[in-house]
Amino acid sequence: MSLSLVDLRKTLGEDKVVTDPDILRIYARDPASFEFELPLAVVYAESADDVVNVVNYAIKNKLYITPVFHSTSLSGNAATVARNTIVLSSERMNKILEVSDVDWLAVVQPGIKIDEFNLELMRYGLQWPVDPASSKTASVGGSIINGGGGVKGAKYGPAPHWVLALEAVIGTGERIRVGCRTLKCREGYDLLHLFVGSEGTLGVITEATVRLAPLPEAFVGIVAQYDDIVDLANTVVEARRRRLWLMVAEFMDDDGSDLVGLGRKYTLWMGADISAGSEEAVLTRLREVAEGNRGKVVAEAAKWGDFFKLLEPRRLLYPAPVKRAVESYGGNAVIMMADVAVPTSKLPEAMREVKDAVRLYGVPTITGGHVGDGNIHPTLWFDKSNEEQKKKAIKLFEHFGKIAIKYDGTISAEHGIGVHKREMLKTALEARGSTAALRIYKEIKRIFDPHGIFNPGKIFE
Amino acid sequence: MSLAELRAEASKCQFCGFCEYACPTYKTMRMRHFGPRGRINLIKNFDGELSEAAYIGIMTCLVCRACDVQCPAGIKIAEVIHDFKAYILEGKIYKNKR
Repeated sequence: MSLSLVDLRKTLGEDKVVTDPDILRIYARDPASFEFELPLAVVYAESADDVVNVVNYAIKNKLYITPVFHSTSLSGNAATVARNTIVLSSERMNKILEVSDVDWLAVVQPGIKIDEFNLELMRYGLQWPVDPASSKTASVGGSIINGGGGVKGAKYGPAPHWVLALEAVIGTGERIRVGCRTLKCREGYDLLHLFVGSEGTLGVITEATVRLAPLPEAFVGIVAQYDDIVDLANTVVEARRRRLWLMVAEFMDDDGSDLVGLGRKYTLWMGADISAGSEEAVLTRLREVAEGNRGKVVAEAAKWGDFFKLLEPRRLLYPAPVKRAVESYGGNAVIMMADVAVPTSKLPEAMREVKDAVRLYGVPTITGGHVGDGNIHPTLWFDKSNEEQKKKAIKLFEHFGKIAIKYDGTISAEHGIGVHKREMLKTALEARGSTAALRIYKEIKRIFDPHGIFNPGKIFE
Repeated sequence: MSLAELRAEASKCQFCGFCEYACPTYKTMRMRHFGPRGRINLIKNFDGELSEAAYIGIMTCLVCRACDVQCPAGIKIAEVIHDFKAYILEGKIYKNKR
């Protein structure tokens, strides 16, 4: 241990700075990383003052900082990829500081897990409706800095819609507050939303003021199955044409449905939050839309709790490939989840092309996702010791991005760029004739992080 | 399980962290080595020596098995940690890494 780390221990306290090599290794990675560097130290921040001290220390000693919460990133955002890096863990910053049931907001420390937070909010009849499949483990702060979304995205949208204000420590060592406690906030540039999706490259979040929504008064939903993916996609298109504002529209392709025990069909989960009393009328409309597109309704729910149970197989989009991949490849298994989105009107063609690409490449893949907001997650797996298979898998992963670009979509809907999509980001910007954006990103980073300490190698080199 | 079997089982971990939510010691300590994901990866990375922090992380597992049903990879988490405890105690392999 260097002398300077002794200084850091003195400033923060012995138990907050860990340099033990066994512990460093378990903080170096996230689920998406198979290559990473060992950090110099793990620091457990418990307050904004701790974060300020670490940032000042990193500036003085020319070190990097990778901020992490619970490291569930599927893009490599939370992995250590440069030498001389301190992993700054906010997992101990997990307090709910305030809940207002009039202003419909809460102030939280960023390391609280989403499900921990929502469990408490249920007491107030409120929710933070950002619910990635990893909500048991993923943090509120991590979802904000990676722009996370989830199952309720069709109605509520992703994290950027549900953050009002942030406190952050930037790369000058200053503590700043961006955004307001009010829904409307037009004070100069929108610095708040620069942080959302910044993947830890601009600073470290130390407090978040988030917007809340009431829990739905009532809910109805159906599960329908199809022989053709285009029919499934057209169901979602028609639901929007009929002005059905779905809260949930999720799907799993035939291979995915088969893997999770639903049979070799394309499965669509579709539901809406409604006013009590209109259950039967909305259910009828949902049935009509599904059956009008050759879907067979296989289950219905007239309560959110019941629909939540029906959704369980859909939540296996990541776990099911993990199970199958380790059965096939043991410890060499690698799972990669793509995260593309297209406008809803382009879903039928885009989903057809995704299926065609999977057949063409022959890499084990299942596809599911949040069709309600056009977000598709083809999830592939391979044996990392098989160079040919690995190369093919990465090519297919990039091919999904090209399909998204072709249909006016995005290469990254809710997982971020991390290290996996840096080249895809360049391709997407080129396709839009907007390569200048990358230069602007780098200039913005220089303003917030003039010493270049935060999360090196993420979003861009 | 033998050490080779323990390592093979632990190496299935994909690092998703779904197991942490259920772990009582993780909830209390909020440090990765006090949760199943950390413990399993300490075993996966085990090179014959174990630091004091890693040792404490492993030995504080309560074997409540709450994590087992959370694991998508189907790792027998509690059994692996339990058998690894026996291995390091029998071999007196503890706190020997600096």
